[in-house]
Amino acid sequence: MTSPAADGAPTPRDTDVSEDDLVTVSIDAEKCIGSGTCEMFEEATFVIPDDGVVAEIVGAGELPRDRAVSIIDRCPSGAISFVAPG
Amino acid sequence: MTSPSPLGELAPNVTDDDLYAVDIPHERFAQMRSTPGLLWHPHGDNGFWAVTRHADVREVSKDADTYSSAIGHTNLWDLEADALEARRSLIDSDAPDHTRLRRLVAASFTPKNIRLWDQTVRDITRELLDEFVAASSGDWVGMVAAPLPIRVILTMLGVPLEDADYLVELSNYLVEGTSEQQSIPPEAFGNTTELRLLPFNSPASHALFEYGEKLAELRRRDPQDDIVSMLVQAETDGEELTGSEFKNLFHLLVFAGNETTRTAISHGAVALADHPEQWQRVVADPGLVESATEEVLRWATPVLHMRRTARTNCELAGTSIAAGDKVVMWYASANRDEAMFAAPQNFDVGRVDNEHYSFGGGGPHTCLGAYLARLEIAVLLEQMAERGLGLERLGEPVRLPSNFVRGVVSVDMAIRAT
Repeated sequence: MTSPAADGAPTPRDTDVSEDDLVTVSIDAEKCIGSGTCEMFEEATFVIPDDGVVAEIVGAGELPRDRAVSIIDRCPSGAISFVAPG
Repeated sequence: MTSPSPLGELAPNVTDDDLYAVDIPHERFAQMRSTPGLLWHPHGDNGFWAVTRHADVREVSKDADTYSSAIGHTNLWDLEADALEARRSLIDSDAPDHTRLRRLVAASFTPKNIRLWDQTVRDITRELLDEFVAASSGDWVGMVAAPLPIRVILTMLGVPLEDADYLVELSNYLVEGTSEQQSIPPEAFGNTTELRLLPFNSPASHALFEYGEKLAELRRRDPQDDIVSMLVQAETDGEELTGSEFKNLFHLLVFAGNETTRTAISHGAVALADHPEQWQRVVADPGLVESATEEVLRWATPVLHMRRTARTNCELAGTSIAAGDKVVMWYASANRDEAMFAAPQNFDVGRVDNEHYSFGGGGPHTCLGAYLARLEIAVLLEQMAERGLGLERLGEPVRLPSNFVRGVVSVDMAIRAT
């Protein structure tokens, strides 16, 4: 309910971010309001299908950590989150 | 009334409508931002917590579980239960109703789908600029800022363009309803509904409801490729949308689709006329259109505040808030927060990291039309820059005396070569 950083999620300042540092994200379909923000900024990872209104993950849902943090923050409905490792 | 503020401090008055006929009371907001905790602002026979800092607005905006939009009202005053139900729209809803309603229209307003209207926006903008250039001077609001967004949203909704003037007229009366000054009688437009049951307490809402229902009936019989057809289809498909929900959603799309962007374009024009050196930068480097668009949005702050109501006891900025308290997010203040923006009092078309809250502070109620508004403003700036059109202000803007919508009634402008 607060910013991702307050939830203990990593922020870009925590580590040196490299392109290799991939994380996995998921979408809470109950929360998504279909703003399309994720699709606009990260079209390789998110899509709103032509016959739907809720965003879906493309492929494995992996993206660099810094961009994941950014899109989690930008999503207006707070529907995107990290998938806990393991 | 006693103040529930732990500091015993009251906020300076920022709700007096007459203040806004002059300008946003920036000094009062600055004073409130620099006071630790939240200030209690008396209002009517009660009051509200005034949230003025950027970071605090964000916290309230994003936490829709704690800060409800469905309780009381999203304006400063409470509505009686029957009025709230009759007037309930996307804005006054919480999940799951909000999620369901928002999803019905969300697809039409995604960045990807808004891009489909690019050419329509370009054509309408070119036509309006041609007319303004031919006239060489006139009321910028009436000639450009008002017709541009209304023509676009009416095209998307499927409203015949010959009805545009009528809907602009209705919309103007609705804006009056956000202030204390209404110029039409309760029975205007054949209205028989009690005003308290109508959005903005305005008889123009009755006329807009009626118009929307007639259009819906036409589209039920003969569906077109437009938003109203899509909504009536949803209505018949799965009872996803009640009659009252349709009326209020149509009302919201017409009102929000034109009034807010019109305000942004009006204040934007004033800012560019008053800061010719900033406009020169855009003319010289069209790559600045994107950041100039964001700065126009920050500078304009078309919606000055939105209210939430605490669902539970909670704490914000170290201040305890009781369940049921009104919590008001002042975008007018957040957009000038020194902690967020470098030199916030400067209009800077090249501003970077411009996280303004003119579309709200994040969360599920983030402006549905944000990408449409951005497209309209950007196309206007781009075409003006391409043509080398500058603006000169011929008089003071006539501002709406409203603490809610930062409306510009009219402002006379003349074309000036850049």
